Amino acid sequence: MFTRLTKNIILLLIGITLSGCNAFYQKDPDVIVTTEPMLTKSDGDSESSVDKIKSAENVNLDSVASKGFTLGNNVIYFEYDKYSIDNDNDKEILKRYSDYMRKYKKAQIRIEGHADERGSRAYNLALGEKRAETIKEILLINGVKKDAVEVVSYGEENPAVIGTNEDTHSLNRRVEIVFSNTGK
Amino acid sequence: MKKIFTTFILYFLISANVHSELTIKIDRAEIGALPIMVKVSNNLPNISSNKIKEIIENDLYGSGYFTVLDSSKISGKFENKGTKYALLSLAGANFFLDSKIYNENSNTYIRFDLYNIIKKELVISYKINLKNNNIRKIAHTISNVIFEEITGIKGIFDTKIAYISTEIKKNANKKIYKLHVADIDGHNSIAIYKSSKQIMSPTWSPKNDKIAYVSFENNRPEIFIQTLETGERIKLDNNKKSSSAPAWSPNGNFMAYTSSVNGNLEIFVYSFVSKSDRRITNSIGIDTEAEWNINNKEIFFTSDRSGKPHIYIKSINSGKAKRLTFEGTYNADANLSSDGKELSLVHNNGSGHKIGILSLKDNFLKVISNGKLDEAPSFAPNNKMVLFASKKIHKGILVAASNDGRIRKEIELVGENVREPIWSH
Repeated sequence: MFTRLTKNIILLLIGITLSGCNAFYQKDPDVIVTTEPMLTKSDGDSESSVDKIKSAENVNLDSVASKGFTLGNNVIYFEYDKYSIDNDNDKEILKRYSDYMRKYKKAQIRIEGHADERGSRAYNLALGEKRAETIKEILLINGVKKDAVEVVSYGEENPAVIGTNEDTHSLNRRVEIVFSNTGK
Repeated sequence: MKKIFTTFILYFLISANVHSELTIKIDRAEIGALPIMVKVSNNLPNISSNKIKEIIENDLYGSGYFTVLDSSKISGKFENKGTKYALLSLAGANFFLDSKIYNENSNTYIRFDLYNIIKKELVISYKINLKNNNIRKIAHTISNVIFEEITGIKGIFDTKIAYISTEIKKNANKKIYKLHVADIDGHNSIAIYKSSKQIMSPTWSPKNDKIAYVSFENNRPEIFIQTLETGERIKLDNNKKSSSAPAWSPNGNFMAYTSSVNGNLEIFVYSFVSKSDRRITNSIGIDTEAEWNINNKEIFFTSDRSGKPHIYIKSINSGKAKRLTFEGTYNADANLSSDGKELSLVHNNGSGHKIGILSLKDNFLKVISNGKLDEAPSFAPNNKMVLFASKKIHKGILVAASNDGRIRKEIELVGENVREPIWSH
């Protein structure tokens, strides 16, 4: 758990250090439309984002099984009560996944939405679903087939980390992209 | 503000064939509570008069409206009415419940007489045939009659609650979810459904004979309806892959629920009569947590169409939604009082998620809880209390609080977290 927490915090910090990002809202998803081959280098505007992309490039896509298989970072974080995304790190994650899904036509993914513990459970279930639907919509716009994507929300029920402060809440407001079939 | 200065802990041990054990801690104001004395006499061997007395006393004390006086100080038969009123008045009683269990024509009865000691008069006198009735039910019925007679408020001592519990099985490293039904005094708590997958959002049918809830047993949220007497469960046949937040219409003909359409969460209404459903809301973002108005024609719901979650009302037939909450940054999960006059809801004005009561007459919102993670409010059937979920040192507990600050009860389940309580109708 600690390792995962540390990893999540580092990823969060990377996201925070990105500056001057283009606005990247659900209603303006075409900013990430890409026809580039998968896992190309990003023109990231900070050292951190370049490092991040490099680490993703190192994933050996031919030697992994579907269980636990990710294309590097597979978690996208959200602001409190929000379901829009607005940083280059998230943009890069989604680019990587849409590129992969376009290449491997039989691949199937499950987009799992989560919320932090505050507020009503049924509303949080809806919030988690809306976050996951936002990510799905972006992937579809980027050429991923509708049938290849399943959306589910767990609301506040499956937190990534336990705790009641803003640090833990921010790590729990997330969408995780999980492969149910790598398509290989 | 009345000072709450007495803490009294009642431990209710549940009968042997039921697994769960609820504990109830009561904080209440003594000021304004009416002193009452309860006496139950009995010459028959097989019936526990002490049990009946204890249940009635717990009901009356736990209501917050009464102080129960020790009846052992008054013993023997009263020689005459004058002596009776004088002695009881001296003992500090305003009311006296005199009950007796006896045989008559091969039937066993309990007769109870309620006296107003201040006015020196017999208020009511009833008898109940004990045949085919269990002791707890009879005692709660007597409590209801007494309570209603004295306060003019409907007694709710025989009502039930449903709630969800979670238990971590450390050996198996998994979580067990249970849906329980229990008497409001904490007794007879029975798990009616268990699952290793999440269950949530329980809601009573209008006749209290069924419970609808959301289960993730197929790895996505789906609505199930379970009949309490038979245990029969059916999935709501609404042709949706995922659905959540079920709400029964008061006439029992419809169920409102939430499902996604083109990436947005919308509210639908399923008709049990025509076996079909239709979409009620149409907006970008989240519409969920439907709650029916008492006219069966409108729904209250939570929507973020204005940027933050607030409560709206809309006809199920046509027209625009009207926003009802404007205070604070978060208002959600509305539950309507049975008279249709108030909504209890989850409210955040910057100091955490608390329970509020919104008057539909003048839009006045009153906060009645002081937690930071309070949620899932539902009114008592007499609308005098609100039951909700809270956290106590990271443990999930249930709280029943009156809207005047008179009484607050904390309900816990030993070894398990409890949440999402809902009071029966």
